[in-house]
Amino acid sequence: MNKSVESQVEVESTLGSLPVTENERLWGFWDFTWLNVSLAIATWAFLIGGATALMVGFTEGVAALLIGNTIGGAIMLLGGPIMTQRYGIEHFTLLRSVLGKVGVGIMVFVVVLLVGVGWHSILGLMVGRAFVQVSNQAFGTSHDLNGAVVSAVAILSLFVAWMVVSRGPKLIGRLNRFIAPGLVIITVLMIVMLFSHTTLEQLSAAPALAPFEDPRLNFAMAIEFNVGAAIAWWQTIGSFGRLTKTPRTSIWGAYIGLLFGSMIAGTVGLAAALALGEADPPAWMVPLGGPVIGVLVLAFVAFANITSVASAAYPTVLALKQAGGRALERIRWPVITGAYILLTMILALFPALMVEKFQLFVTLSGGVLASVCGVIAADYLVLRRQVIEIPELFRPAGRGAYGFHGGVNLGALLAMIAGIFVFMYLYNPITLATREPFAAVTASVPAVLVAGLVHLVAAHLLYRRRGLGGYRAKDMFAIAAADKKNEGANI
Amino acid sequence: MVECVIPGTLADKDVEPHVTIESNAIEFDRELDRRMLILTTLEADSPVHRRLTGKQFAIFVAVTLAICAVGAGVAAL
Repeated sequence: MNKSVESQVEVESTLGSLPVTENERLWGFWDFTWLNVSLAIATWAFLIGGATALMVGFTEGVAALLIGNTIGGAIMLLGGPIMTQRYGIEHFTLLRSVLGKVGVGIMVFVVVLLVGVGWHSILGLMVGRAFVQVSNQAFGTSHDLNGAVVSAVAILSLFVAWMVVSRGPKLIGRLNRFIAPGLVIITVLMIVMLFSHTTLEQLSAAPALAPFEDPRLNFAMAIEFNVGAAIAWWQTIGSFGRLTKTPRTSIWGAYIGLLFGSMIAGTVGLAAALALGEADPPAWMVPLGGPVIGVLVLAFVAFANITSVASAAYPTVLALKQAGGRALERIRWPVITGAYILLTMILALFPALMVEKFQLFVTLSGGVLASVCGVIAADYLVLRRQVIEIPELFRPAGRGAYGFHGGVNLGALLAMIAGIFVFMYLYNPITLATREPFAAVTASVPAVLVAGLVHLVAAHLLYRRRGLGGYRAKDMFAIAAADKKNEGANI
Repeated sequence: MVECVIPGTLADKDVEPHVTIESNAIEFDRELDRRMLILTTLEADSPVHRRLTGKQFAIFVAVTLAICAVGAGVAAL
């Protein structure tokens, strides 16, 4: 074990949660926008586009990608980078003001862990399916796309991802330098290949791959699916927000960058799936690119997925380590990352289930995260008026302004449950049962509104009116700026 | 994903604190104090820490609704 890796992680999980200063902030508007474009043109964006093609055709699919990513992006932005940008504090540390220290722990171990494990096992399985496609195309084998070989390769790829993530952030950073430009090149290549195979008229006429009977409902489900995919950026963009230089940068850089990148890669995935009749990217990359280019592309996608798992697992496990407190404090970094990757490997044993339930997973996790974002937005923007007492964030659980009830903001917890209930009432992605307003207003938007409203009422009744919860704090930046101005006037 | 995927910044500085919040709160508190001082003096009136204004929020909502309207228009084609 490299001592410096343990030290790097140690710094990240302790001093790394403190506010960054202006000099430590990395990104202006264009830097951050480009970063988000690069992030959004990821391997799973092809998967999202392909899955959208199951429900709708090309025109409606493009519309669903646009509407879904816009709504999901807006919800995610309200619940994440706006607050981390102003204070420069680590995302989950800052959320102690909303949920309480124990409340953040509950959310990290329930929501963040499950969402992370689900997404990362799917990325691992994508590598397994890519391998089987290459093997079947190049060597004439006939491996099942949901068979044992897929699981074996997925587990091997997740093991490699563990080897990367267990060696700390610097190695991940080095590998990522090759991934973003490579994926941009692949996306452009795919667009060229696609339109050498088909025309826009043919694409527009292509039917959805596996739609339900009601076309209006198909469109609404496709939107909701894309809302869920966009909200899944919440943790990543929330973390990045602290390193941006202005509110304008954090909001518009992420909004424009993610929307643009997701639209391009998602549309390529959608069009390729419709043109070739396959929703799964590994299944259409070889027919589209030909044996040589297709195999090279699949090999690169596999490499990109492994690095993506390592990159995304790092902040997730770091959040778990921080939220775990003393219980996880002494567990060595390779062990805790290994335990996390082991969970993804267990899910990778069920490729058919994971691929079949991919849409359900994305939509459901989107509904949960939408409720979380609704609570955060109501708390930070409305109740606190964007004012947080930084030192109070670092008090022991259950104490100080953000102590709430034993370290849990019960109002926020209740509001999240209410939001999830409304989501499931309007659209149950498990049974596919829907209620009338769903097709018009989605399920995520009402979930955000209800979660936010319940939080406003509950937090007021439980804490604010009793002077608890730090809801009447003074803005330290405004006070400091006024003092500075007065000093200048006196001189 | 791209470079700088890691949310923190201090890891790049080769700092080796050998502490955790629980085992050595003094170093943590000292660093927190140092940063609070910077935030409330050097950066007190910096645009970095400006609040999101009502106007900015209204523009954000309006743009969101406008893009959704464009999407609905595309779907109607």
